[in-house]
Amino acid sequence: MVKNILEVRDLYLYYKTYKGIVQAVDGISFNIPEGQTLGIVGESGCGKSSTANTIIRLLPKNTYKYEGSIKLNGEEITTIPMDEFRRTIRWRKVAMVFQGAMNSLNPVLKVGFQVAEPLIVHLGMDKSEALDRARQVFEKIGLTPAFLDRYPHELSGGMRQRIVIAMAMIMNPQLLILDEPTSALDVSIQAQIMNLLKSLKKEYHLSMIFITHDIALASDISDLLAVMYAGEIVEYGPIEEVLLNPQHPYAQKLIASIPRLREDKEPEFLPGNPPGLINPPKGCRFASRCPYRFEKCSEAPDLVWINGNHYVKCHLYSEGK
Amino acid sequence: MKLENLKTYYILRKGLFGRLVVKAVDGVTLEFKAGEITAVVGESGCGKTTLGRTSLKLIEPTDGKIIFEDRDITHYKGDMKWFRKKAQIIFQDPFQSLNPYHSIYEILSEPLVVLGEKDRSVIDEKIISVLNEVKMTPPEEYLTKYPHMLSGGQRQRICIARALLVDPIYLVADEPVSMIDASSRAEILTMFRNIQKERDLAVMYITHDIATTKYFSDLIAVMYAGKIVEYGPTKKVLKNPLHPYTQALIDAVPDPDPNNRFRMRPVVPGEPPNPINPPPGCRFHPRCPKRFEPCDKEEPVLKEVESGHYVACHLFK
Ligand SMILES: Nc1ncnc2c1ncn2[C@@H]1O[C@H](COP(=O)(O)OP(=O)(O)OP(=O)(O)O)[C@@H](O)[C@H]1O
Ligand SMILES: [Mg+2]
Repeated sequence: MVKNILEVRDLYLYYKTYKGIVQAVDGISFNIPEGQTLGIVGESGCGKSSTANTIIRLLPKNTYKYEGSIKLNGEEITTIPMDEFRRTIRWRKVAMVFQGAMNSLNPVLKVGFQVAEPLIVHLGMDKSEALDRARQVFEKIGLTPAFLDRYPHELSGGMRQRIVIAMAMIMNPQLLILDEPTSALDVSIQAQIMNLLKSLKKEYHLSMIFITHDIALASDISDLLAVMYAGEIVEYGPIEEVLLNPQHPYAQKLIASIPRLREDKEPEFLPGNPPGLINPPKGCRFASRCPYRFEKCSEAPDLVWINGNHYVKCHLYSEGK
Repeated sequence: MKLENLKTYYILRKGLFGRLVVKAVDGVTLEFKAGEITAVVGESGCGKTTLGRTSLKLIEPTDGKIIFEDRDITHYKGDMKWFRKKAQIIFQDPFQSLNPYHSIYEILSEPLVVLGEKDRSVIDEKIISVLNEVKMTPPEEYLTKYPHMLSGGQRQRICIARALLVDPIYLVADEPVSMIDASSRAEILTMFRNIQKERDLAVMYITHDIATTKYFSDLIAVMYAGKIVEYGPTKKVLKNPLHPYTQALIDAVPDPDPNNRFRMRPVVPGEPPNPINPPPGCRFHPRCPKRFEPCDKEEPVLKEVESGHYVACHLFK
């Protein structure tokens, strides 16, 4: 049995706004075995980025509720005091590539320095040693040392995305969270970045969380898949099972809606919209759009473990249906 | 709509060494027939949006011809109302293209009023019927709503309705679903396809997403650095892509498949060229895995290789 690098249980993140409480992450659970990649997929606003932020504990000021258990290598990290979390976990063990990060590089600093900076700030390394390490990371991600001296505006989108990945990799993390790392890139560049991530995964036995709204892209790297809907994970399991034999009606519809280039399958569609996350419906959140809904769906469903590491949150599978 | 050797250049600024010219569209010939959707596929900066807008005379062409209903309108400067009624556009961003302070009724009545319709009952009737067409039912329910009260998909339906109101015969749809959630894309495109067939529209469907062209187009034109590199019936082009760039575009798009993760995706190295200074010869040659002797010298022209299937590549003599 491979050990889990990450175990998340009943994790919540709510935000307080003037309109009400936003239940962005509402009691989610999952595991990531060491060296594997979990893909988190779902529509815009379903809570994917919020989930990532809870793990690396970057919580906005208006956080209303942050609860649950996150174990990294078996160690509970939600209760670690903030300064210690900063010193020992964030960037060192868990690093993240933020959604849209390639457009927020500092325009007046050379990218080599931007990549090396955490080593100077956090590890007290001297500048030349840090730049040396940056050079090594550049090599890993397919950039020649000449790029160290470039400014962000001199680089193409694909190159900037590599820089952002280098920044996350510089402290040698065990877990890398990637939030929509390729969605701003053209398909041919996207494929280059995916190949890079695949080779990092393999070469460094890196564990990853890969967040995207594009399931086909998630399948390019993920060993496990979590389908999120309105703040909840409605299905989670090995990618073979979730992708080829989805159980949750939402997962089924979402996967059937993907246009396929190489198969003769008309994309199906899923009418309607997800509920808002302020006062979402009490029962199953997908019920109003679900073709299989029945009386019980007005109550919130529990997780039903189908086998091993695969669960679904749906009354169709609970006992005494 | 016929475009003949159309060129649209942007003059950036007068630099130290003279002007910088961006050859956004550099000699495109295409024909859009009633009842057909032609997908113009390419990556950002290849010139596809400029091509669409030039065809609508929203941007002045630098050279070449725009022929609409057998009439050369390339340099037509007079009253464009008749053309605006017949040729319309749907923009990429349904959030920015609807005025947030106007109700749906106001948004939809505007184009009719601008184009000279005065009879309120005619306007109301048209609005109701077009809302039905885009499946915003019952229409009365939406008339008093404002754009922020609608989902992205519903807003895009309103944009489509607005374009259809004046009964155009040619439509440019510029990335109409790229800002919409994946799960609603198929629904909007299917609806659009049905309307297009029903109305026998000629459509230029601009997209970077080659996977959707399979279901929602009759013909594909693949664009790279301002030029069409391959053109033909969608089925043929997707099944048997001839240009190495088209092959690379197709290879880059994964289908959902758990086995993907065990293999590297075939990729072409590098990035598209700077349109100010495209490479000589074939513009794709620096990235092309199959380049050979003539590719960096001679510019290949679009040739018919099989019936209806054209490619601009030296591999095909
Ligand atoms: N700081 C915040 N304060 C209040 N609400 C927030 C905050 N951050 C996010 N939200 C809301 O929380 C919900 C989940 O947002 P989140 O960004 O996690 O979704 P996402 O799945 O990453 O979406 P996308 O695919 O668009 O990136 C949304 O309704 C969003 O508007
Ligand atoms: Mg997000």
